[in-house]
Amino acid sequence: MLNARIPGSAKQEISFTVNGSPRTIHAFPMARLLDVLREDLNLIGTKEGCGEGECGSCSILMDDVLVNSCLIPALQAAGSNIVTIEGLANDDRLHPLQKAFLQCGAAQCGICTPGMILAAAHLLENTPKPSIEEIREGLSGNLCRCTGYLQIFEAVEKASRNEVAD
Amino acid sequence: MDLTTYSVKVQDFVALQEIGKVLHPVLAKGQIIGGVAQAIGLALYEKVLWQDGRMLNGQMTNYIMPASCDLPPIRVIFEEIGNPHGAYGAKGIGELPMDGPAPAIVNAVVDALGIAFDSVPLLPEEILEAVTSRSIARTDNVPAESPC
Repeated sequence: MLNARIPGSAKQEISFTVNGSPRTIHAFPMARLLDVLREDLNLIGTKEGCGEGECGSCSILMDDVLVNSCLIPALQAAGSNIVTIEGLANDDRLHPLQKAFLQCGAAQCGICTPGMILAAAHLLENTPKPSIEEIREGLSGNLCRCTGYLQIFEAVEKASRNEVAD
Repeated sequence: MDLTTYSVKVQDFVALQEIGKVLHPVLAKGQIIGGVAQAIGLALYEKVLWQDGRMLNGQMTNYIMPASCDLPPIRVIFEEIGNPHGAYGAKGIGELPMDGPAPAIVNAVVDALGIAFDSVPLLPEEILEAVTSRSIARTDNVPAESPC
């Protein structure tokens, strides 16, 4: 039974910025940010792989920090600046990482890809010319079952060297 | 192989695959690399624990699959001898890359230690047990606490 005197048992307004736009949702404060993004905001690019913060499929950027959105209560996101995979491309123009992923075969089934690209974007933001070891480390929170990672590393290296042709 | 901890890490892998006809080089290579990665997991990491017919370690926290730091460079070389039944002579490659790597890795450990192993995954504790011929608690069948 919902009892308004129990904290968290009633929906409330929560506001934050998503991909540059201010958004307000009406949600339970302990609802997972993953569900809020997918269901309240229709941003279904962010995927659920495990629901326990292990696989990285749900990775998003929150205030420039790479986080697993399956572990973030909606209330914790209040006032934050969130970037999902949908926020990477500029209208029709793909982000260099997205182009590199396409060219290098870095996506097969695609379920890890949104989180993987955001993790790579976060890595390149902080380490513009990463070594292969830094790439492995930077993507170590994002599991991929299909590709064996190597073409993902190629794509990240290619993007970091600005070698991505249009 | 670390001779103190008996953990095994693959440092280099070469996959030579005869697939009839390479239709899309990037995708074909990706299939082989992905399959080799899965088979390395089979060989070294992915232990399944059973109890009463149910899998005990069915979560990402306790079922260990290879992450980006766990895989070597994987070199893929294709041969194209051809297949009269496939499009442009192509054969299927989805399951193919899973077949070889696990036996190859186990054979490498056998070659290194001179001890026969006949199961996967080769966890460090299992190698330790074989090397020291000391029986330790088996991890492949957790006994039931009470009848179901």
